Amino acid sequence: MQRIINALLAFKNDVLFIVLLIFSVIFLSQRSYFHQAQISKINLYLTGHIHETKNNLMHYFQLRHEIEELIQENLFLKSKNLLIDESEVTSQSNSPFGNGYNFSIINSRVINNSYQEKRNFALINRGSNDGVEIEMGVIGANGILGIVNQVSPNYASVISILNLDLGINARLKNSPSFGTLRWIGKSPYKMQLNDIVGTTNLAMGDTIVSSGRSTYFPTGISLGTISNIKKPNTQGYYTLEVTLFNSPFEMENVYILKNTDREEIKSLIEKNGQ
Amino acid sequence: MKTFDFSILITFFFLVFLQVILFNGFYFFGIINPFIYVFFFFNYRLDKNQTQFILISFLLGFTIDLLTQGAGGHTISAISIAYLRPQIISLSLGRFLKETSPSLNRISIYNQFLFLMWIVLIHHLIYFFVIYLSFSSLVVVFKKTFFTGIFTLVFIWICHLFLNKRNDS
Repeated sequence: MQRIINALLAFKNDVLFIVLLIFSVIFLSQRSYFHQAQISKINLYLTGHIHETKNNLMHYFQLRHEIEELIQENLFLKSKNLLIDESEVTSQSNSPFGNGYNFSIINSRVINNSYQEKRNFALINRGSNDGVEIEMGVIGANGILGIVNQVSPNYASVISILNLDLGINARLKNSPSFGTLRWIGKSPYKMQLNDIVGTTNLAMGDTIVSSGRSTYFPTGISLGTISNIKKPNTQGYYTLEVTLFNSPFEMENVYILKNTDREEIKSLIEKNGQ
Repeated sequence: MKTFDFSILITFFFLVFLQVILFNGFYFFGIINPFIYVFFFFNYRLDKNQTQFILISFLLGFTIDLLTQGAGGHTISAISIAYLRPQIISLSLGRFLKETSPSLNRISIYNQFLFLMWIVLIHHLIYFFVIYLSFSSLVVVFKKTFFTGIFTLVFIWICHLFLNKRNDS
């Protein structure tokens, strides 16, 4: 203890300088939005590189598990492809999601992910150089990861759906009623679907899919199943507990969805608003 | 227990007053806004305790940031200058420090000016870099440092000469 204090006294000017410097950088980032954005850009750049290195190392140890996952996904995609081949005769749609939206796909890998916080973020190894922009949706093999919120040349940060601030538009697979899917901040597998109209026919185990009412995600990405049904007496809406098929923290290989019609849709919405 | 030198406090408040009330209203050529408070780092005694100096410099930068609604650039540049001051002193007045007692007035005018120039250059460079905080605008940072630096130098030198004259007579 005495030694530590002696060392501190010997370098007291340096310690004082560093403490004050940290204080003033925090002060700076609190006072000015420009500096806040600039500092978080530098931060993203640094953390991106650090986690990429760490992840490259860890990647070798998980290869077997990952190959299994890829095979599963491949099977799933193949079956989907077969279905499309059949339906192509009748409908003209050639989008992989069979819906009116046009999405192009950029593949990517999650290099850092959290699920212990109240507001979780993930980091992926594609950035503006690869055509990633903010507000693009990111999906995994069997579920949604989140929405891109910040981009640097080689990395992007994604707001995970395990984030109290983010709500995803979702609906029942067998019924058109839709609601907002939110995380309640407990288990990383459990989410809550609100605002489903009380007259809907539903049962435990029903599948929840994305509703396609935003420009981020197409219709019909399966998200999870209903595991608990609650209906307050005084209100006409269900509150459903949903168990996810695949929680964001399990996702390794993800796909960034680029909505090619986004500008067009956005400009229409803006025109409507005025 | 060393006694606290109250002339430091007077200089402190006088410089804050000058910077906030007077010099922040000056805009030479529309953009140049000299930082007279850098005089504090120049005028402070050379042999005083550096810990105290860093703290006072922090307070000075912080006060000016708060009063001029700056983001925090003055604070960072002020503590950096306070921290680097021993190195700047040995760089510009090294020979004189060994020979004579450390007082600014006994040093040749050439070395005094060199010392001031280093302080102003480093302070402005750090300040403008923090304000712009991106490598793409480095040219603007150098330009601003150069032009604002010249005006700061002139004003501080006038201030210094004025104080010296009063001390002599």
